Amino acid sequence: MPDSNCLNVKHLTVCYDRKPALWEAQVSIPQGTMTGIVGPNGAGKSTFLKAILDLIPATSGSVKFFGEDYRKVRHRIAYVPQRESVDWDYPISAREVVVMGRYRSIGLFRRVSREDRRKADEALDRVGMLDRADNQIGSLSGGQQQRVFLARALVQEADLYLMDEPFAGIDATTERVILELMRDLRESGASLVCVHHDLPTVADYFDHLVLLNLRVVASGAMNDVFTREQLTQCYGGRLELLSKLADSLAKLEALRS
Amino acid sequence: MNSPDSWILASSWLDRLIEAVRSPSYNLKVIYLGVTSLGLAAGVCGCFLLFRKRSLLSDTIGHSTLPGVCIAFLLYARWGSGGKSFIALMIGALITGWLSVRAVQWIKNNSKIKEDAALAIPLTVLYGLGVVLLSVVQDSNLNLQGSSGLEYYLFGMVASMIQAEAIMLAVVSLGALTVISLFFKELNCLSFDEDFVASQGLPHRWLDEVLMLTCLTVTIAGLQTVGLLMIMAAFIIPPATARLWTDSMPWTLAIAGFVGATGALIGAIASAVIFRLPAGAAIILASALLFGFSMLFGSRKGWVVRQLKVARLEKRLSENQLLRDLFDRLEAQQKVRLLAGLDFSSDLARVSLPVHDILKDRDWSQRKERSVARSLSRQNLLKFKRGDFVRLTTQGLERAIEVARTHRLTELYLIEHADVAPARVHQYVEKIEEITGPEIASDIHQLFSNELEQALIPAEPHRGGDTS
Amino acid sequence: MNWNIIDTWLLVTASLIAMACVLPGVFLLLSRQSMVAHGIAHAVLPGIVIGHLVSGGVETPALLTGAIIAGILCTVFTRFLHRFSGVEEGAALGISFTTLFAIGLIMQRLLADHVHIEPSHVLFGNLETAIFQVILEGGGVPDAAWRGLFALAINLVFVGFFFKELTITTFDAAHGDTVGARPRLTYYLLMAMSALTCVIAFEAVGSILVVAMIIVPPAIASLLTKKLKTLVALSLLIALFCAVTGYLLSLGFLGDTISGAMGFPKVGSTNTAGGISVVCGIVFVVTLITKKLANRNPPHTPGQRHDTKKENE
Repeated sequence: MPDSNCLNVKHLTVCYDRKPALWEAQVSIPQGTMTGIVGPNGAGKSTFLKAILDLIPATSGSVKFFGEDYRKVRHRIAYVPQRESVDWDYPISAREVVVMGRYRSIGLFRRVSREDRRKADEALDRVGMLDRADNQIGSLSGGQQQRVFLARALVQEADLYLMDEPFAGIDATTERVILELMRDLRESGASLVCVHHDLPTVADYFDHLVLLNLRVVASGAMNDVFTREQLTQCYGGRLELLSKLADSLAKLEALRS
Repeated sequence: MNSPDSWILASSWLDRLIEAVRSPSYNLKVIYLGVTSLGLAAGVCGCFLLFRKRSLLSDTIGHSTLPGVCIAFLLYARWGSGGKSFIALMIGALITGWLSVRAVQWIKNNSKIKEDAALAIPLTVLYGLGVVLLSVVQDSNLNLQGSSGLEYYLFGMVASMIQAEAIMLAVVSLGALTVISLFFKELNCLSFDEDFVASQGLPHRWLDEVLMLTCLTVTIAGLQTVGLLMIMAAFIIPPATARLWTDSMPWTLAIAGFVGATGALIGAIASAVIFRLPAGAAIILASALLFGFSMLFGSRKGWVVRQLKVARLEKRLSENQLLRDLFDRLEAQQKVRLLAGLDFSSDLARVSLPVHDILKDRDWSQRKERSVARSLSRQNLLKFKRGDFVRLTTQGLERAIEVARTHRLTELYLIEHADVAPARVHQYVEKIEEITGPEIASDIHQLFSNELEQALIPAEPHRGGDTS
Repeated sequence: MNWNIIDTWLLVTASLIAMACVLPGVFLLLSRQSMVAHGIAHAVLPGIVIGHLVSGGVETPALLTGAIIAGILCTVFTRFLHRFSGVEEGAALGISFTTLFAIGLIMQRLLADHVHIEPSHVLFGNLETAIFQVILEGGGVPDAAWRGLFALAINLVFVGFFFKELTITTFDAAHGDTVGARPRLTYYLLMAMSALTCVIAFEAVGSILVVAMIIVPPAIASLLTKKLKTLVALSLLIALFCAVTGYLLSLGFLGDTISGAMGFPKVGSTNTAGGISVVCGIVFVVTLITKKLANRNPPHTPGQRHDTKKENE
């Protein structure tokens, strides 16, 4: 019986190399929702995304997408990393970046077809970047770059979109475009999980919420979670000790490896 | 390149070795002095390059000296007395070496080309220029005296080092070390946080120049004697080696200097002993071996040291686990919640406890049980009784209480603040507590001092044994 | 100036090799691994020596295999030092290739002295000799030229087939991993190709000057264009230009100018590889300066926003 959750995380503990830690994170996200992940700085939000995508190693825990291991359903998942992670001086155009998202269906040794380019253009159109498809990415503004990244995820035609701070540092137009797009995706049955940087807007944008601060404080439907007590618990409190404990664990693992 | 086999007359390599170490010939002594000074200076200066992530700059500088050397040679042949004038060549090398550093900066400031290419482009272009000039120098039309062998500057002519050169190297080395020690504080700051230095109004550009010039001088001094490759390696390998031993800057410099000097000496000796072994390469290899040794045994990051640390931690972990288990059993048997502090009944210390039975939930081998118990008894924390029984000493009881309390509080903390399920908290706390030691213990105690009576020990937050 | 068949072949070989180098060079530049090329160029020496020893001569396949292995070893060591002992990446590279090179030198001197790997030729190359000998022996296409052609061909094939993978993994390896582009594998393949190209070019232009051709033409092209395919094409053209010009100037112009400037009698020809390298450098500097001057007075077209966004970085 297929799992009705797009993401099921149990006991995820990550103590890796001075990155913010995660303690026994436990999250279940139903399909067809738009989930925001919020928390203070250094709370481990990016760590969470990277750990479930197996980009950094976890100390313990299990992660299931649509009831299966990541490896089995990779083709159904699209990842939009933070903008800073990329060298924007790279000599490629917006369209070429978007085409990269089609790689999985193109595969080794085969060339980029007209169909691929058409789909890329479609995606660019959806994010309103078609007229700049040939621009080199470095000449784009932050918001435009973000939209290109999003288009790259779109062409993967995924069922689950994982995004790291898609709304950070962008202009109002881009914000509107991205939000509309995300809602369209949800309407068509996809699920979205986004690390969000801005607490005030999270309730407007998303219908589900995960409060993260080195561990999952609360997760569930927005109305249930977005309450004063939960927020205080997430954003208040000194968790220095928790970080220290995580550091110790990381040190021990580093010694052992 | 050339090895000094001409003056080691003994026939077998062992004899040669003994002779090279015990009673080196004059020429050998000269070489020892020269290369050791160089290794020392380069090792020390290289530390600052390493900290600023510019190790490969020494490569660029080194390669860019070739054109300078050639131009100087040509000019000197034209307007001077010709031949290989040491000073002239050095000046030439200094100029182009300095130019290359400028070029790297210029490229980075005026284009989007990144650091790696900014290093590679001057390196290779200037070197190419040098090669062109070299072929001019060696052209038979010119018939310049002393022009042959100029290219061997790449490998150096350690074997033919003369006294004057060795002394020059020693002097340069001394000079470099003096400069470093004069500006040690500032250079330290500079390497750590360049922006801070600039913001403090310290002349950080100038400091940078000083550092570069010092490195440059050492490079050029060594170039003709030990060759480009060895000099380059001398800036890179010893500092990296030193970092495997220590975190403190002064010690890093000291160890780097030591490794540089020792590697140089060993390489020189090896080259004297083994026929045809090129000295420069031997020195590099010797330094690399020291590095390899440090990778294993270095006190900060050596593999062996890490394993030892882990073993030690595991041992303490096991000891504390036994203590805790003994305490748990005591608590259960006596059916009391104990008070810490000195007013516990010392009778408790006389209760005999069956070790093997207590440890049955842990997957320990017989040997391990024995050895941990013995270790505790050596520390006077428990005493063996007849058969399988032990009893805690007063000290042991105190310790057991302490350990149990910290453990339980940490578990409580994780359960409350990290939402770790009680059944799972145990495996983490087991791993953590030994690394953290007293600092975290006191943090934990402070946190809970409001919620619990200071003297109380909470009940076991989780039920049962390990769930790992 | 006497031009004969030898000169033609020299020119052809130099051009082929220059173009072959540029292909892996573009991706090394884009993934900020220029110094890795330098490292590999040094590190291939022990591989070549072992290849000589194993094959007892100058058999190319043995050399190539030895060199590729040595080149990959260099990158493997670098990563290992970084991961295992936390050595900073630049230093790790420096340690790896100097040690490998030293080992190569030692092996060559102690074990393979009879084999003609003149240290200076390792570093400066000796294109002239390579070609000269063949021509003297009766004409036809010299081996070096064949090797140059082979290098160019194999690189074209590699870049052609793996273009997508190379682009994706040099641009955004993390995302590439999630779409199955196999960044790690691509990386090692790139290293292998670089090592192979290094060793083929090695005989002609020496291992260190190879770096000039691997990095400088792509760097020049990167100043001129923001399109990847154009970058590759432009790099090839620039490499060709520098090779031809460098060669021609080395026939006499460079030598005469230098010696003349210092008041010496004319020298005639100078080392070809060096000349090519110098031309690369001149073109680079000229391009950079021209670009700077052009940007100071941006052409203003009314109605079009001039993008000065990331100019002064």
